[in-house]
Formats: sequence, C-alpha cells, structure tokens
Amino acid sequence: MHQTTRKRLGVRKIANRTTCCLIVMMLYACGEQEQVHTYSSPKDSTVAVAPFAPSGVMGAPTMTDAQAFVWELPDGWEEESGGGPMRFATLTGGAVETGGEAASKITVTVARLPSRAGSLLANVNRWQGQMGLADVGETGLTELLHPLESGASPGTVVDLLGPAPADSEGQQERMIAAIFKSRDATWFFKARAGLDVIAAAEPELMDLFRSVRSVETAHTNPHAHSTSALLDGGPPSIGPLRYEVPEGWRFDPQPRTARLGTLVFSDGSASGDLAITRFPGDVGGELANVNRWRGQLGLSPVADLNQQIVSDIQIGGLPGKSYRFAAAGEGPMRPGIVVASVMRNGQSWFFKMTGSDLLLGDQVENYNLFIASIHFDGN
Amino acid sequence: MLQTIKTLLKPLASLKLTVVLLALSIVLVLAGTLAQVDMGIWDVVHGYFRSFRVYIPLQIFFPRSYEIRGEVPFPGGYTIGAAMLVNLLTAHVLRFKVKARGGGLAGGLVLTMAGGLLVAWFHNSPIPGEILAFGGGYPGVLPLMVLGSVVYSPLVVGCVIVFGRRGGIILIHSALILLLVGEVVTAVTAIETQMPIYEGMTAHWSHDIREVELAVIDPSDPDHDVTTVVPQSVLRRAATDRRANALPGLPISITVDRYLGNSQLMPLTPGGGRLKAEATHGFGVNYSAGPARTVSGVDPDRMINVPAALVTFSHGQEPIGRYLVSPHFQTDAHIVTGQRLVAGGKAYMIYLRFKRYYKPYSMHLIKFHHDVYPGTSIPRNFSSEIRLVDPVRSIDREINIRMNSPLRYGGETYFQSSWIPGANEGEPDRGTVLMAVRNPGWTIPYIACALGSIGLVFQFGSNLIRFLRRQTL
Repeated sequence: MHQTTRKRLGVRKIANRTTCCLIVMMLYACGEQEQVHTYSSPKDSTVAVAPFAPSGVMGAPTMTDAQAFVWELPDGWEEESGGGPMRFATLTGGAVETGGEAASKITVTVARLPSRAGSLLANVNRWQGQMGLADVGETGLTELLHPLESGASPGTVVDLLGPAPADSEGQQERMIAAIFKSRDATWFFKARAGLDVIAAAEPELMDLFRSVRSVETAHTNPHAHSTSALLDGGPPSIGPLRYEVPEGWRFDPQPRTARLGTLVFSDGSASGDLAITRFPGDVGGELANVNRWRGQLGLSPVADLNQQIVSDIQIGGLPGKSYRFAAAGEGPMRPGIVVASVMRNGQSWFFKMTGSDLLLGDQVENYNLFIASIHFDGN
Repeated sequence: MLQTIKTLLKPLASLKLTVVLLALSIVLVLAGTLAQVDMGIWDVVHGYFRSFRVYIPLQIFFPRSYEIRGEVPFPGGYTIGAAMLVNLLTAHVLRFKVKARGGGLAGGLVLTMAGGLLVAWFHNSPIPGEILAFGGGYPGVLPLMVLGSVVYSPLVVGCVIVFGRRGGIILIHSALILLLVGEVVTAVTAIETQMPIYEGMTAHWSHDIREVELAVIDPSDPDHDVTTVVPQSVLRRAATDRRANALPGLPISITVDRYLGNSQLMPLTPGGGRLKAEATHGFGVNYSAGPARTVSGVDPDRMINVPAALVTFSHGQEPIGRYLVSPHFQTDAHIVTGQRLVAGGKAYMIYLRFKRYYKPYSMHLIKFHHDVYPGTSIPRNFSSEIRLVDPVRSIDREINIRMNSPLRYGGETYFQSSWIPGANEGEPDRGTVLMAVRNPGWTIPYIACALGSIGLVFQFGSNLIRFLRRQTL
C-alpha cells in the first residue's frame, strides 16, 4: 500500500514536469514562418479605364492655379499659345534632316489637365490608343515611365514606339512625352512623329523637357489684380490657406524645394524669411520635429518636450503649437528659428521663420499678426 | 492503466492551474492595453494576444517621463488560451460524469449532436442576417432570439438527458471552449482588407494596409504577370541577419540593408545637405527615408504605418543596385509606383506595396455617390454602384453597396468604408474604398454567447427551483 502511494507520487511528479516541459516547448518552439512565394496574377491591363477628360476640362490654367510651368525654347524653336482645342501651347522646332529626305519640323503640344481630370494611367492609355497600342495596366504603366534626369523640375518621361508599319511605304511612329505635376494640375509635353524625326530632334526635346520649371503664379492670389500687387504683399492663398502679409513683408515668388510659399522681410542690414510647408501626417511626431529644428541650429536633441519651451496657440481656428529656438552663444546675430505648426485634416502645416535672433525678436509682432490672420477655407 | 492516465492528466485539470491561467490572462490584457500607448492596435493584437510568447517592456507600466529599461518574457495569448482549453477539457474528462445509461444515453448523445449540427447550420445560413435586415437592425434582435431559442432547444435537451443536472455547466463550458476555438479560427482565417476602386476602373484585388510585401514582377508574358512576393516577416528577418535571400524562379537575390516599420520620405537637396542618398538606383537617388514613430493604438488621426526598405538586388554574385522601396512612392493615393530593375537582360518591376489578395472575380465601379443633406456639407449617404463579374460562376450583375448594406460574396463581406476624394479640395470624389472582410468564424462567438446564456439560465434556474421546493417542504 505504501509502495503504491509512493509510486503514484512519482508518476504525478513526472506528469507535473512533463506538463511544464510541454508549456515551455510550446512557448519557444512555435512561430509562424512565412516564405517567399511566386504566383501568376492578372495583368492590370485588364483594368478598364473609363473615358475621361471630356472637352472643356482641359485648357489654360485657371485663376486658382497656384503653380504653373515655364520652359526655355531651344535655339530656333517657336512658341504659339493654344494652337488646338485642348492645347495650352504649341512649340515648333527647327527643321531636322532625316536621312536625306525633306526636312521635317518637330511639334510639341503642351496640355494642362486639372488633377481631377483623371489618372496618369488613363492619359497614357489614351496615347497608347493613338499610337495603335493596347491599353496597359498599373504594372505596364510604371514600366513605361522613366524619371526625367537632371531636369529643373521633377518630371516623368514616357517613350512609346508604335507598331511596325504593315508595308514598306509606311513609317513607324514614336511618341515622347514629359509629364510634370503641379499642385493643381498635370502638364503634358508631347511630341509625336516618325521614328527618324523624333530621333533627330531627341537632344533638343530632352533639353526642352529639362528646362521646364515650376513657378508660383500671379494667380496664386485670387484677390490680386496683378503680379506686382502680389509682390507688394496682397493677401495671398495657398490651397485652403488664406493669410495677410504683414506690413514690411513681401511674398517671394521664387519657388523653393518643398515650400508652398515664402515670405521675406528685412531690417535693412539683415534679412530673414518665413517658409510655409505642408506634409502628410505628423512628420515623425512633435519631438522628432523639435529635434530636427534644434539640429538645424546645432543644438543637441532633447529627450522629451518638457525640456523645450512650447506655446499653445490658435492657428486658423485650430489648436497649434509655437516654438522658438536660438543657436548656442550670446551674440545677437546668432541664428534663430521661430516656428508654428498646426495639424489639419491629417496634414501638418508649418510656418517657420528663420533669421538672426535679433531680427526674429524685432519681427515677433509681425509674426503674431501673420499667425492671427491665418484662415483655412472650410474651417 | 486507466488510473495511470488519470494520474497523468490530473495536473492538467488542476483548479490551481485555472486560477494561475486566469491571473496570467488578466496581466496580459493589462499589458496589451498599456502597450497601445506606443504601439498600433494590430501590432499589439499580434504581438501580445495572437502569439505564443511576448517580451513585455517594463516601460509600459510607468509614465514615459521615467526611463525604465528591461523586459519580461511572458506567455502570449495563444499559450494561455491553449493551456485553458487543455485545462477545461481534462477537467471534463476527469470530473464530469455521464448520468444517462443505455438507451437514454444513446438518445441523448444523438439529440446533442443533432442539436449542435442544427445550431451550426442555423448560424451559417442567411436566416439570421435576413431577420436582422427585415427588422432594420436592432428591432430584429427580439424575433431572432425567439427563433434562436427554438433552434437551440434540441441541444439543451440532449445535454440535460446525458449529463442530468450538470447539463447547464456543460453548456457554459462548451461556450467557453467555443470562444477559445473561435478566437483561433478568427486569428488564423480572418482577413480584413481594403479595395480601392477609381470610378470607371475595375479591381480584382484588395490589400491589407497593415502589412507590406516586396513584389518583384516579371511583366514579359503578354497574358499575365509573374509576381514573386517577399512577405513582410521575411524582410524584417533579412534586415536583421543581412543574409542574401534568393528569389525562387528568378536570377535575383536580395539583401535587406534596412527595414523601417514606419517611415517618412525626405527629398534630397541638390548639391548636398545633411541627408545623403543611400540608394544607388531608382527613386531613392533623390529621396532619403528616415524612421517615423510607430502609429499607436491611441492615435486620434488613425494614421497607418508606411514602411520603407533599403534593398540591394543582385544577379548571381553581381550587385545590380541598391533601391529604396516604399508605398510612399505613389502615382496616386492608392496606386504604388514601381521601379524598374534589369537583371540578366530582362526587365522587372519592383514594389514595396501593401499585401495583396487577388480575387477570382472583379468589381467595376460605375459610380460613387457621396450624398449630403441639402444646403449643408453633412454626409447623408455613401454608396457605390458596382458591376460584379465572376467568370467562374457566370455572374455579371450590378450591385449597390451602401452604408449598413454590405455585399456578401465569395465568402467575403464588402462594406462601404471610405472614398477617394478629389485631388484637390472642393473637387469631385474620384472613387470608393470598400472594406472586404473574410471571417469564416464570425458566427462562433454568437453561438458561444447563446450557449453560455442558455447554460446559465438552466443552471441557475434549476438551482432556484430546487431551493424554492425545499422552502415549500
């Protein structure tokens, strides 16, 4: 009897240990292992693209366009406004020699489509159709797009080669187009001609495409009557943003990377500017932003926002934040940054004033007036 | 022999183990809740609850202003759930006795099984949905409960015949088992994806915006694309071990130099700046990707994580180039732009895109409606006019998917979820975003709750009756 009890106790001990072992094994031996795999997927060319861009949606930039494109014509080229029902401009090149045959002129049509007028895919498929080629899908589209190298503005080049001619009389066609996106619209520069004509004019065409650059237009300000009114500091607008330009400040029409607008000011001896930018999301969060600005002034990053003076302010009726930074050192000419930020519809707006600490101190009143004047349409 | 098996099973059926497991689950739920301050809700679900083990950072239990280092290994939801299931089942095997004998037992078992099948059939039939739809939502709940109690009665009666007065407890425990199993079924089989469709376009895939994949597409076949997909988990692992991964069927191998779970793109300034291009080819020549804070479960803006990876592609031993890939590179809000890669004289397209699920059918968006109350901008209704084409089942019909009126097709439920707004403010909407939910186990929690409720009513009801009888005597 005693032996049986001891035996049972032994079995129980083994059972307990086995249970523990099983649980530990489950904890560490299990895990999901996904693998690289291959499958056949339908081409996106099966995507039916609805016709879009009916006549009337194309045309010259509207008064609400905040950005437009300008370009430099290669030597010997001519430009004509419009030139067709859907054209913004027609650019004509000099005559090119094509293998001893009669000289031909290359023509580039410039069209502008409002962004709502349809996707890039739909436009490219329209061109595919014009060239007698089948529609492409999303995958096929990206294969056709190449970034424009060393251009003044980021652009995309599409190079389409038509089908081989049915007989020896016919000529194979080629189309080269460059696509540029502004905030309001997509611009298309398109040349379509015989294979040899395009080949002869290709260097000039690429020069033309590379010269295309964006400018802030006078139309930025729907209330302004002329460019000079804008430069004098009218009440401009950027997308849904409306603001008043403080006295002594002026809008700088020179486009700058990543900026939606720039206001400049000066005290006679030194000058500074205020950059207006907008990014999707929170751009890494408040702490990351603060440390980025600190880094720009050579200041060490902070571990939390308690170490940084932050003011809660109202920007366009929305809760925003304001920060002020000055580089290390004592002198009044040390660089500084004053920045205000606000989140609206999932986008971060930044109003960043840079200049010497002394200049920024003098401009704080104007800065506050500027921030107070901000209004977002729809709020 | 039987005695030995019982002795072996006894520790598993221990009530002490039940209490420990319940305590562990409470701690896990608390940790998972606190972790959502820093992590996205789905990261927490997968990391804490749908995992076998988790390393809980001690920091989550303290204010973030105190820096607390270290983490504690802890059993994940699967481990605790599996242990609970084993604990419950062994307890039944060891402690619960079948009361019925002979013909009663056989009849009771047959009735229980038939009742179980009837319940399963009822919940997988369109009847509950139609009753709810007929009642317009909540008003339909009452008739559904009445009908449900009729459907459940054979199962209840069967349990009572077999287990006697303990039939109620059996039902309650069955409900618990079903809840545990249901969660596993949901975790393994449920897929929640989005299907964005532009007006006038056709979609034959949906994507999961919580997960990315690196797709290398060979578009050379005129009829179809051959897509090789590297899952997110492989990319993460490859970024840690830095080993070359050969892509099956392709002369390409990849080395993941960096993987960012959430990223932000920064354009590089021509002429230099603090940021330098890390990629040698593709879009990354002009952009740098930096880490962004992981979207947390308490993010009021409901942002999503947009990963990025720096990947070196090689052809055999020969490096082709280093590419920066990310869903940030878009042609439009829902169209990721690919980058061209040439290996062995053949062109491929590479994308880091959200994980795709292809369908054997397609949906064409005829028109998206965004109705507002007259004179206001307050939304009244969102609806999508869809043309559904399924060549396998020879279906070609037009459907209207509206708020609270989803389409159930092909094992998935399509809800009107969102829309693709105009490219600029004030411009017309350009398309719809449907949410496609596939959850074969969606009825299990309902069955479990109904079983548990019936079991509780039976158990407490029979006790009450016995108590009242004793009072009368």
